[in-house]
Amino acid sequence: MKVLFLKHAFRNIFRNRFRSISILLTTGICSAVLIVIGGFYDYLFRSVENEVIAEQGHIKIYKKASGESSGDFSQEMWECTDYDGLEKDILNCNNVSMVTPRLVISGLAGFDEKTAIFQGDAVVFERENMINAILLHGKTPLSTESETSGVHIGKILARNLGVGRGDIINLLVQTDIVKGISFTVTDVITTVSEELDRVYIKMPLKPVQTLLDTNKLHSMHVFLKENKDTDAIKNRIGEIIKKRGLDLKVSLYNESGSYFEEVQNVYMNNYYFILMVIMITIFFSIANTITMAIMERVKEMGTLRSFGMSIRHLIVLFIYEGFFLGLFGYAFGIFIAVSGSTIINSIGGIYIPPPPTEEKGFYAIINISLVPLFISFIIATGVSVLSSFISTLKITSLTIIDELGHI
Amino acid sequence: MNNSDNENILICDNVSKYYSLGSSTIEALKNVTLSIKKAEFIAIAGPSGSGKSTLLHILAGLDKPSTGSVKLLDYDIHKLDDDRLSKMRNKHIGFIFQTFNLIPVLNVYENIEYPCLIYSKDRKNKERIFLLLEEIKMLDKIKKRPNQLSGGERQRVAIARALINSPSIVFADEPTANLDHKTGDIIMNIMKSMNEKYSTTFVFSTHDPTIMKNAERIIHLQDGKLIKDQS
Repeated sequence: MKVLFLKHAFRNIFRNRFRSISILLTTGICSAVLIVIGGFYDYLFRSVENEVIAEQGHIKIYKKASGESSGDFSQEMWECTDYDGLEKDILNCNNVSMVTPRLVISGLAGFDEKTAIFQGDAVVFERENMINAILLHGKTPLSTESETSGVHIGKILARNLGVGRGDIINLLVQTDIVKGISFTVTDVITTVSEELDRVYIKMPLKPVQTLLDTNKLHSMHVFLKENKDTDAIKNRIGEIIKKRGLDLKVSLYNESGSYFEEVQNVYMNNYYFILMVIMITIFFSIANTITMAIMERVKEMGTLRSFGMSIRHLIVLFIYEGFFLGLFGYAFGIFIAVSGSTIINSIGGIYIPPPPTEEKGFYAIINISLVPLFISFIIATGVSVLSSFISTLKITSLTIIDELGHI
Repeated sequence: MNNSDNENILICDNVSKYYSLGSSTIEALKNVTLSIKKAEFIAIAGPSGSGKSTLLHILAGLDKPSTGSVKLLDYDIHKLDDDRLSKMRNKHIGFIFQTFNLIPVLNVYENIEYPCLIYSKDRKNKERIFLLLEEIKMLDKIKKRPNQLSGGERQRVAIARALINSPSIVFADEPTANLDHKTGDIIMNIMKSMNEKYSTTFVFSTHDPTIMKNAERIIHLQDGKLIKDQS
């Protein structure tokens, strides 16, 4: 029965070729839009994900500031009597590649007659320099260059102060008293935003801790060899911290309330809106086609019923027809999406201009991935089937004689 | 014919059919009562508007009577739900239309095969399809689509389609009306030979006296009333 109906439904879609081609174009373009935008967002998510992981690691350990409810910066300094032991325990967890401590510091930077407010991180350069290697290759390099006396300075801050590589800048920090320290500028860097470029300095941890007369930290950042089993590792680290009696929070880069999740939500809301528009477009296109097909074939339906097809069979026949239209439209959509993204990717991607707070735009490429392909398939075929089903409900009110008498 | 062959396979009891047209009611059939035996070859005769097609449609389960009942093989067919009545039409009733009504996207073979695949997945009917194709002399045209056939050829295919499930009874609504006399005679001969060969009951409507002559029994209708049942 199914083969018969499939064959009949398949051939029916070639009866009015112009109409079928137009519906295939509509469904195909809609499917392609879903696949391409999905692929584009996939690339963006991966870029943001890589950026966030490179910035703060897969897992962050920090102390939540009292009185603050949420946010990445609601943290205060904390102390551990045995940092090395804690690091060692965390490094023993499966898939953990590196742990690196950070301390947030702000104050006044000066060079010659010029001064400017700075904000930055005190880090262990030897470890921070390994981050890219870890993220790219999933392993820690054997040796790294030591940079214990140098700082990296944001490029706008460097311009404002008039410093370059090799210059020595002075940093003043307010604790109980005002303290000062000098560093050689070893690099001028571009951060994620212009705002940060105006103030950012990355400096070595040990001298800063000595300056502040403390061995406290703001955070420890855990980098994994592979971005997998993150929940299990987070839980394991939580247990280690609890065992050591520390009141610290452990958070993943992508968990609820994180920057990554916020970015993802913004893009996903856009995607859902596009999805809705496309669903409505496909729904009405298929509904129109099937309704026209029903109107044209009322007499034929009477004939089919005269030799034994029930109303249920007729509905199935038209649903198959709608399914085929959706399926072929989807196949055509894949063709458009793959061809289009191959062309776009081969010319280096789509240029995305910088957001207001950033200086540089970037070229986004399109990752044709399984999720958008699957979503597009479900939308193209599912909406087509639903639309066909609703369109065929009007058949149920017709009698065979109505149908046979229809011209 | 033996005794069982003489049993009624269809009983039409006091069937009337009314149509509402605005405030007035048109009575298309008035209290028609008749019975049909296995292997009969019956013509329903009468002028246009006499109710021939309406009666055929009601007997074939394509339309419902306003009053009265139709029993086919002891089933009151108009009391069956759509699924069961559809199955009944598929297994026990064949219908031949004046306008042939073949499925344009299917070829000759597929058109004939269609009814036997609706409720069955297997394709064991190949032999019977070829037998019928031979009977209607269409073996050389099995791959042709309906638009590649003449009117007579289309009606021959429609006859084969009506007979494919070996129905108990075949109804034909003016099967020769759209054909020339020569082709009409060929169609009647095929129907007659199928009736004789397979003992299939045929009930056809016509207002053509030359076609009527082929029937063993003629039921005359006038203004929706059965006025004469002539054997």
